[in-house]
Parts: sequence; C-alpha cells; structure tokens
Amino acid sequence: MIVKPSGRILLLALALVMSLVLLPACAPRDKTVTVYTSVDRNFSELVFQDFEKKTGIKVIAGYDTEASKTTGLVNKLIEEANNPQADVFWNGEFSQTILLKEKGILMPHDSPAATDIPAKYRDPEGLWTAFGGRARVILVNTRLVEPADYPTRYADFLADRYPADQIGMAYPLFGTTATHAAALYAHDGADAAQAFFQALQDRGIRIVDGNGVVRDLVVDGQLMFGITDTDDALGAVERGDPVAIVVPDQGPGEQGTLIVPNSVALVKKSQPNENAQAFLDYILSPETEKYLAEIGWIQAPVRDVGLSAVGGVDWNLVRTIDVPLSQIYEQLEPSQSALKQIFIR
Amino acid sequence: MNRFTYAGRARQTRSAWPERFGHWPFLLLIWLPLAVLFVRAAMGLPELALRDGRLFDWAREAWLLIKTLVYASSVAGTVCLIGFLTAAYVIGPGQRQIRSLTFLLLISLTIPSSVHALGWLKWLGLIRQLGLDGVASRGWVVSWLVQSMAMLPVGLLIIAGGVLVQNREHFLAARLLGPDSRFVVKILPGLLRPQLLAAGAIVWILTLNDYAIPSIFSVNTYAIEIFVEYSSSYSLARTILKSLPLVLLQTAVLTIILKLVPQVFLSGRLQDFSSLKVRFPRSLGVLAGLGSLLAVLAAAIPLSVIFLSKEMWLDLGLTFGQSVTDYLTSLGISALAIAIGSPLALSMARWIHARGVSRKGLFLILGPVAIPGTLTGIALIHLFNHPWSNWIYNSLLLPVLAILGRFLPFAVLVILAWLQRLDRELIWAARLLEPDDARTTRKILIPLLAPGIATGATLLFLLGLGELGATVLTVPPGFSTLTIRLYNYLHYGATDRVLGLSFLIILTIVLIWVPLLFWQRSRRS
Repeated sequence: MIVKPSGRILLLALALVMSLVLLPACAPRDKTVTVYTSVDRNFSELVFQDFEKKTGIKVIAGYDTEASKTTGLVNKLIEEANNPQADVFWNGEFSQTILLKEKGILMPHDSPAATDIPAKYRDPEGLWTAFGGRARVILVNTRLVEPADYPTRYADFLADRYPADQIGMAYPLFGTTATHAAALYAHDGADAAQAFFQALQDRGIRIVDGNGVVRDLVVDGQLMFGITDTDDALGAVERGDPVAIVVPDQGPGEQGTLIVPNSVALVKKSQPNENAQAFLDYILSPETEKYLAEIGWIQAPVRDVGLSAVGGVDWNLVRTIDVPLSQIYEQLEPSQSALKQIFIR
Repeated sequence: MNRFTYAGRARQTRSAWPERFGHWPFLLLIWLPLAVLFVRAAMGLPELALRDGRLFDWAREAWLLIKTLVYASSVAGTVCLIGFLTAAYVIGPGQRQIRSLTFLLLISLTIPSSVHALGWLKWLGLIRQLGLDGVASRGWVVSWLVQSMAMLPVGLLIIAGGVLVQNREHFLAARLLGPDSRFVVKILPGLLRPQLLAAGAIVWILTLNDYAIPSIFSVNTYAIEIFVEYSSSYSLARTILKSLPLVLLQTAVLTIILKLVPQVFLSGRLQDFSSLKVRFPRSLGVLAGLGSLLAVLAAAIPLSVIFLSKEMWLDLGLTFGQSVTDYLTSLGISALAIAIGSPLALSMARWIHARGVSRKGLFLILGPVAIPGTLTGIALIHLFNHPWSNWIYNSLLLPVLAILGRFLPFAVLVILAWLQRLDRELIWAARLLEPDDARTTRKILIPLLAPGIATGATLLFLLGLGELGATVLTVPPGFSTLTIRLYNYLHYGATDRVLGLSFLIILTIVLIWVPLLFWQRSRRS
C-alpha cells in the first residue's frame, strides 16, 4: 500500500497521541498513593500538595463533582470492588463511607494519629475514622433582612413573617442536606421530621439543586436566606458578599445544628499499601485538621487543634444534634424514600 | 432504496469491506459495554425483587413522567417555532446576518447550560430590581423560558442546515404562483419539516435528560427521579429499571423522526438565497425579526455574563494557569475520540447506506444516545476493570470510549446524510475504474465527504468537551477534564473561574473554527 508523507505524518501523530493516552497506565507506582476524594478540589489539592511535600509520596487523585452529587466515586468504588484501583477514600461526609463498610469495600487501619479523636467519630472495627466537619448554617442576605429579623431556628423556615419564595434549601435527597434530613429523622422521629418537611413543601419554599445554588441565590438577593454548609457560606463571606451566617437552633432547649464530619478509610486490597497508611496517618493528624480549618474546608474540628474560633464561630460552644453517626446513616435510605414522595412530584 | 445508491450499483462489481462488515466495529464498541451492563443488571433483578416489594411508585412516577414529557415538548416546540421564524428571517430580510448569527450560535453552543441559567438569573434579577416584580423567579414558565433559550442554539443550527440545503428552484417556482410571503407561510414549513422534526427531537431528548435548569427554578422532572434512585439505592438494576421508560420513549421517538430526516439531504447542494431578493410584508418581517432577535438573545445573555464580568478578566491568567493540564487532557481525549471515531462512523455510515436501514437498525444506532451518561460510564467500568485490561482501564482511552459510546451515533448520522448527498455518478465511475476499495475511499470518497466527516468530528469534539456524566467515572486517577474542573468551580461558587473556563472553551472553538472556515472557502474557490 502506498502511503503518502501526509498519511505517514497522520499515522505518527496518531501513534503519539495513543502513547500519551496509554502512558498513565504504564507509569511506575511504587512511591504513590491513589486517593479517591469527594472533597472539593480547591481544598483537597492543597492538602495533597502538603502531603507530597512532607512525605515525598505522590498522590494520584480521583475527584468527584457536585454535579454527580458526590456519589460518582462511591458507585465507582462499589463497581471496582473486584479489582480495586484506589488505596484511600477521603469523603467530605460520613454516610457513604459507612455504606462502603457495609458493602465490604474497606479494610481496617488503627491510625496512631487518631487516638485523640472521640470514640463516636471512629468505627469500632477500625474501618473508618471521621474528623473535622462542616456545619449546617443559615445564610442570610443582609440587604434583605435586618439583623433583628434574622431567622434563628430551622423551624423559622415555616414562619409566616418570611415570604416562602424567598427561603431556599437544596433537595433533601442528596449530599449534606440529605444527611441533615436523616439526622432530623433520627433525632425527632420519623413522623415529626416527615411533618416538618411536608410543611416546608406545602409552604412552597424554594428547593434547588445543591447547597452552592442556595448560596448563589442568597448572595444574588433572590433569596432572603437559605440553609447551606459552612464551607459554602464562608466562601461568600470571605468574598465580601452581603451575607451573614447564623448557626441555627442554639437557644435554650433547642436541638442544635448538624456537624457533618469528613471521613477517611483504606480501600480493601490483597496487600496493605504503606503509602496509603501514611496518608491516613497524615490526614488524621491534629496538624492536618488545623490546616483544613485554616484553608476553609472544615469549620468544626472534632478535637482541640489550637484554634479558638473558625469562621468567626467558637465551635466548642456550638450545640450540635446529639445523634450517633451510625443512627443517622441508618435513617438515610428510609428518609430519602419518604422525602422523594414529598419533594419530587 | 439500494437501487438508487452508488453502492447498489457498485455491488454489481464487488462490495467494499465497509459495506459488508462496517457495522461490526460500531456494534462492538458501542453495544458490547452496554450488553455487559444489561446482563449484570438482569442478574441483580431476582435479588432486587426479593429485597424490595415495590420497585415503582406508579402513580407519582407516571404523573412525573407525563409532566416531564409536556415540559420537554413545550421547550422543543418553542425552539422549533423560534427556529422557523429565524429561518424565515435569514431567507428574507436578514440574509446578510446569516454568518454572524451562525457564528454567535456556534459559540453559545459550547457554553454550559449552568452558565446559560446564570445569565438569565442575572438579567431576570435586574429586571425585577427595576420594579417589574411580576417577573417570576421560579416555576414552570421561567424554567421553560430559560431551558428554551439554552437549547435554542442546538435547534437553530440544525434548522439553519436545512435552510442551506433547500433548492432555490422550489422558491422560484412558488414565486411564480404568488407573493414571497406565501412561500414562507405555506411552503417553507413543509420543506423544513425534517430539520424541524430533527431539531425538535434532539432538543426534546436533551431537555428530558436535563435536571440542572429545571431544578434551579424549582421544577421537578423525571431525570431527577433517576438520579435520586442512582445516588440513594446504589443499585444498578433499580437505576436501569427507572431509566427504562425514558430510554425507550426517547429511542422510539428518535427512530420515527430520523426515519424521515435523510430524505432532505437528497435535495441538493448548499444554496445561496442572497440573489433572490426575497420581500416580506411588514407583519411577517416583524414576526421573523422577533424570532431572530430571540435567537440573538439566547446567545447574547450567557455571552454578556462571560464578557462583562470584570472579575473573570482579572482572574483569567490564574484560571488558565490552574487549568492547563485539564485543558490539555480534554483536548487529547476529544482529539483521540475524533481519530478513532471518524473512521468508525464512516464505516458504519457506508454500511447503512449500502444496505438501507430499517427502524430496527436505527433503533440499534440511536439507542445508546438515550442512555444516561452515568450508565455508559458504569458499563465501561464493568467491561474493562479487570487485571488483564488494567492498561486500558487506567489510561485516557476509557474516557475516549465513553465519549464515543455516547456521541458516535450523531457522527454516523451526519456522515450518512452527506453520503446521501453525493454525486453518485462520480463514485460509480471511480468504483468501476479502480477495484481497490481502500484507494477509492482515500482518493475519492473521503475528499468528497470531507465536510460531512469534519462536521461529525466537530460534533464529537464539542459534545466530548462538555461531557461529564460518563467522563467523571472513567477518567483515570491523576487526571481530570476541563468540564470536571468547571463543575467543581461552580460548586465552590467561583463564578469568575467558571466564566473564565467558559471563555477558554469559546476561544478554543474560535481557534479551531476560523481556520476551518478559511479552509472551506479555499476549497470552494
């Protein structure tokens, strides 16, 4: 077959592209650790760089996106169970990590860095450990609401003094909003929680696609206030947007707000990976927890890391919903099933 | 059908390899992963039936599906109406604006739907601040408006293609019998019917699968039901079962509509209406002008948000710097998708063209288009995540396969359409004089089909660049794409970065499109 020079160039170019494409699969992996993370890339990248600098171990990261409601990687880990690719799963919340434990995807690791983390944040079998968390807070537009009129409780979302179409919340079916709903189911009981969410829907508050959208609509003045996570809310505060943060349900007799801790676990493999264990020890150390608070990913450390206030709030004084993580996890699927009937019609 | 195709005539001499076996690479590449997925899901069904007494909440889900169908149909109908008015405008008073309008729409086609929504939210908010409180901030009407505007570029480009291949003779004949307006009102809708149907069908499908825009405006659609299932049950079988009504509906509608579409491509070459000096009565001119104004608005609103953002310009260097690896990865994946996909699409198109395609055949080709990206990604994980295939699984080949799995059928359809417009005598002559099919293909067929292959490749490139559902699952650890980064910024609230990345995508398209335009011009001359 006659191949003209242009054809040869094309073939060469194709071969070059192919070799570049296949290169990642052939790269040596002895001084590396593969970490799947659902933590926002803006934050996790900084942590990976810090880890690489301190240990010389290169992190090969797999990221998720909010658009897939951070369930993409969990599904990928489940599908990869027979031929796992990741060494570590670092989750921005905890319920999916407990799910992975139940699916037999994780392996135990007793990290010496986690000894001062309270027992309620550690799996009894050592399969996962939770650490520094984000809190659920109300973000208020300061141009639309006077400080005296700020909502102070989640129940204020039902108060007639605020127009329903100017109050926002993400679908309580995904992410931390789903976890918050499950926590209310566990704390208040299914009937009371169901009635609360039904009342929210009947009132006609604005349900949107994610906490980031809630924040954007509050910042833009299209909502007076909405419930979101501290990392989203603080981002807006730091940018100088006209917003204020209210930690809900802190009055006498009130239930407190939900803290959603990060969690980390080793993925089950035939051979334990020392680099993966090193990453776990790094991420669970008080220094890293402090670092995570400083860069803005977490606001509520689970132990004393030497910070009096994060994001202007002393989290040691904040009242939190007092329900074990495992009970919240148990309520997740039933609450999602029930809430689907209310919110997706 | 074969009697009228060059391949039908050429078969009298000898059938070429792609005409006999050209469908196999397509079927293997596209359907093998899906077949493995369906088998795995089917294996999970008995356990599912035992575990869950009730798989469907029939009344609620049926109602949701009906509402979604009505919503998507209203969006598709609106796009077709505005598309038709714009087509009338460019045939009539706006002939000089056709290039700039096409360019504007092509650019806005690359903008993510979230940026479209962002633009409309901003402008609607501004209108409300001016005292027009009646402008809704949520609900069906505003969601329909924004969705229609976000989908308009897709629909308009298909309809514009239809305008360009219309026969001038039709118009000249109609002009003899009555005023120009009569042609527009009575004859043009019939001539553009296949394009209007194709545009409507594609917009309908894209709307059915999108929940991002509706959910911003508090409108629920069936797509979110599927997503809730996927992200709460972690069950493949349940997710596939939930997707099934939507997948079957979409494929059936696409099959019926596209069965009608190829006929139009038999009608002739690209036409230039500028010499006809079409005259409209004022009322029709105003109506057509209004349609094209809406088309301009659909492009201008998101572009205004991008280009008028001061923060975007200030952070542009930083945004580019942080995204350069993802940018190169995205370009590499899309380029390889073109390199692998174009010959496959050509082979498949030649096979269909040689044999004629039945409804069943079209169903096979188009089925993968209706499958949610997430399921395509999971299918590839099932097929390739084994120790023996780690070299594929951990390479960038997997996201390339994901893009091909989702969008190769579009490239096949475009090439097929161009194949049917070929001057067949040329091919017959070449086939009779040169028995070597590889040589005929290289020397005659590919140059003649170059615009079609380039259009198919552009489609693969554009759709591949914006793909998220499948690529987020298939891109190997250590790599990321521009779209994944964009959605990350979106969640973080870094609007300036989102706009910066949108600008980068626009710039890329301009840098590719402008040389192509010059190449096309020099080729014509």
